[in-house]
Amino acid sequence: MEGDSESSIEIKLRKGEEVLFRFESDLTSDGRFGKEVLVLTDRRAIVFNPDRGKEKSCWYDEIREVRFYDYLGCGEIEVVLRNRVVSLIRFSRSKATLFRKAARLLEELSVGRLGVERNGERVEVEEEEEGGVEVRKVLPKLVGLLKPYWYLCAVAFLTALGIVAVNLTPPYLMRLLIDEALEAGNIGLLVKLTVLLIVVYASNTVLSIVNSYTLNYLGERVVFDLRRRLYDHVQKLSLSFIDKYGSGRVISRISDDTFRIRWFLTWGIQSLVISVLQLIGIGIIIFSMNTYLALFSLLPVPAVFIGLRAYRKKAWVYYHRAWRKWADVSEKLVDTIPGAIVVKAFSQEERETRVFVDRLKEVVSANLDVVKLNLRTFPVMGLITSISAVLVWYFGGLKVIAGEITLGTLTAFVSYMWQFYGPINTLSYLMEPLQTALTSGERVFELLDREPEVKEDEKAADFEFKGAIKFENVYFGYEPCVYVLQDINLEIKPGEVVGIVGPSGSGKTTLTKLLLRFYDPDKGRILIDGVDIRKIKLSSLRRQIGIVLQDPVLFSGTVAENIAYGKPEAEPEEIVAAAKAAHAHDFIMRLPAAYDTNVGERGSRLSGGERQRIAIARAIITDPKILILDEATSSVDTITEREIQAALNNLIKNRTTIVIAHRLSTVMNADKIVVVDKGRIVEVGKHDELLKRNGLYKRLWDAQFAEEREAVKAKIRLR
Amino acid sequence: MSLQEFIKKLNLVDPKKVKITYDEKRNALKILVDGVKYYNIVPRKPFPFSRPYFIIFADKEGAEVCAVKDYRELDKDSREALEKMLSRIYFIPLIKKIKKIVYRAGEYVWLVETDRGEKEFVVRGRKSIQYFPGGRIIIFDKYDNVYELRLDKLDKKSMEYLALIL
Repeated sequence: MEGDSESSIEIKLRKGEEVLFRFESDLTSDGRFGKEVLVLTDRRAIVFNPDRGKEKSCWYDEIREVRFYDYLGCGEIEVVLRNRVVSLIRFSRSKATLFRKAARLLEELSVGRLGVERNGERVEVEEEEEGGVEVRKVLPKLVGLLKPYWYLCAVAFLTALGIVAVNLTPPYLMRLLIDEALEAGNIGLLVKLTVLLIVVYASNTVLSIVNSYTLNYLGERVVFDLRRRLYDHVQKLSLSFIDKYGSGRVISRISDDTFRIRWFLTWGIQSLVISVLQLIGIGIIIFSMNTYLALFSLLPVPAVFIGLRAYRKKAWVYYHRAWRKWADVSEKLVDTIPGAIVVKAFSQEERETRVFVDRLKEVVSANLDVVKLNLRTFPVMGLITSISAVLVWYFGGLKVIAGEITLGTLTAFVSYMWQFYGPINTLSYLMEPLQTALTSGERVFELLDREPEVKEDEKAADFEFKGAIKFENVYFGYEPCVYVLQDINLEIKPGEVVGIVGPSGSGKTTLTKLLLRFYDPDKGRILIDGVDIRKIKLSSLRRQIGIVLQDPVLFSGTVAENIAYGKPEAEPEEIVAAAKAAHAHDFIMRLPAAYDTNVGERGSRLSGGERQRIAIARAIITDPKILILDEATSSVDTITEREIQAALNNLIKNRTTIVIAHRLSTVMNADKIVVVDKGRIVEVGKHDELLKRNGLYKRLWDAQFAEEREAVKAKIRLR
Repeated sequence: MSLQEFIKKLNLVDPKKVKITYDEKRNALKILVDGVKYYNIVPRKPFPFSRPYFIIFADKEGAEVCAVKDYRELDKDSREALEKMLSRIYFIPLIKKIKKIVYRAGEYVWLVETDRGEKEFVVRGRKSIQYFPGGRIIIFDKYDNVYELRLDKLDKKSMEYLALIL
């Protein structure tokens, strides 16, 4: 994709200059759709227009600042040079994410003076692409899911074949019945045929039951396997995956996409095969019976097929419109019934009713449109097929009268003709769901093919921590080369309490994510008791590090189950002790069923502070050697904060504790305070030392005090 | 502080070293632990369903005195005194037979026979039913009354009713 543009334009590079990144934009500098390319070399940024050959460049050492602008429908990167400002490149919103990365990289290369590793390879920045489904790749994989159950597939296929065959016999038997039994008055044959017909219909029933059960069983097995594999795989994947992918998307892969795949693998494939077989079977029979009549009976087939396809397309539009109109009504209900207080307070009842009635009217008209469409299609199609049947009766009748064919043949013919429309109908609607199922398949395999980024060393160690932590030259970024943490060097002694402070987005939480190995650093290493954490068993590492997050996630289940989440075999006294340590015991005992109270529905009754304390109890039941408190008190009121603070003070003794805090007062007494800004450690020291140093910590401290003073003043004024 | 220290604070005592008597005047328990007497004591179950024999003894102000892990190990008299007190605090009828479950406007109306007599109650939704190991089920009705049910002790007809809603 990029190769051709590259060859069509040659950028004049200086000797030894190396291209590091390329970003392709979709807007030109004069605001038209077109191609412009931003190239970042190791020395400068170059922008060129491959169509016009224009080129501009900025040397990194000239750049003072890089600015990224989000506009309406487009965006821009601007660079501030010594004496002027240059608009570097423009792009539409669809490229905004890409150019945000570009801007970050440019900033790091120029202003940040970041040495990007030069290993001779050009780094490509990934661009998300939306391509069509590659049927050839997905289909074999999907069918591969059936492999372990090939015998079930065989049963399903054979029974389906049987059903097709069985369904083809009654008209033939009818012919015999009319021509040879009735005409000739052959009672013996009549009895035989009657019995045979009963046998045929009975075997059809039996085959259908067997086929249907086999397919359903097969579907359940396949989707069970797939869901289990997916869930297991997702649990093993690194956190970064779910971060990037979005948890909603992962959930829908496991639930919805697998459902569609089940449909495809069972009913989809079967219907397709059966319908085609039926068509061929009936075709062969009627043509061998009488070519002339066969041609007549086939007359409406193209009309029916095309009509049905056209109907489906329109129906999709109409049904979706009806559905959207109904969604509008629901939205109004969801807005105004719970928000009744607002409606009444502004006395807008009448207007709301008017709007509601208008929307209802649209629902009525959309629903009627659907009805009209159905009436336009099916009766007409019915008429066409009926007329062709009548024509077959007429021309066939002429032939019967002329003695060319028998009455039985004609009757059989008409029955076969009617059977023709079933598979045509099936085929006409099968295409869209097949397409969606393939897309689902692609998505599921995309997920299954992901490798966990954090891998466990085979020889990983499992030992009891003392709690010494060391960050050595750690660099880390969620995106390649865009570092969130840079040059982190930090040593924490066992049992020390370390506060980490800094403006939001400065990388505080990322530090702890690295320590827990949710991610691995790009450069440098992290040691616990002198051992690189990549050489420690993940389970051992995470068991010995307890973490309390700002927004605690509790799972549905009882309080006891939540506290014992990291140690399901915990004794009851351990659960109670952990809760006591977290200052949670008293309020838990006041719950209706104490520790056996469900936090699910009833849990919504728990306040933020209560949930937080349950989370603290959960963190300490494993008696971790290292405790991380990530803004654990930031979302609660002052009294609860004090309570939680008291709980925390219980816990930090004899543990290495890392406290990430927004309120500086929380970490005032820490053994060491680390101030982080823009991914770097800018200051380390005790509270008093840092205040004297007059740096970022002092500024943050003053700012917080100013806020509090303002708040106090505001209160006084209100009084 | 390590978890062990907090467990120590809980004062978990050997049930064999505890003597309990019912103190009628105070409608409370009198307990003797390691030669020390405590008055005005109320037993509390931190895990009323999952570990019903775990008891914390506290005074009426809520100050906890000690705890036993399994009160079934108490001597007979102590156990009886304790159970007498517990039965006043924890009223959890055991459902012996389900006579009928009817779905009515988003709620289930249960008609059951319990060890404490016949009762009709209304349950709202699946979240009101909690499952515990060993086939024990706890049901909360819409007023937060609690009923217990044991799958292994139900007759076939009751199981059929139960299957309608579980």
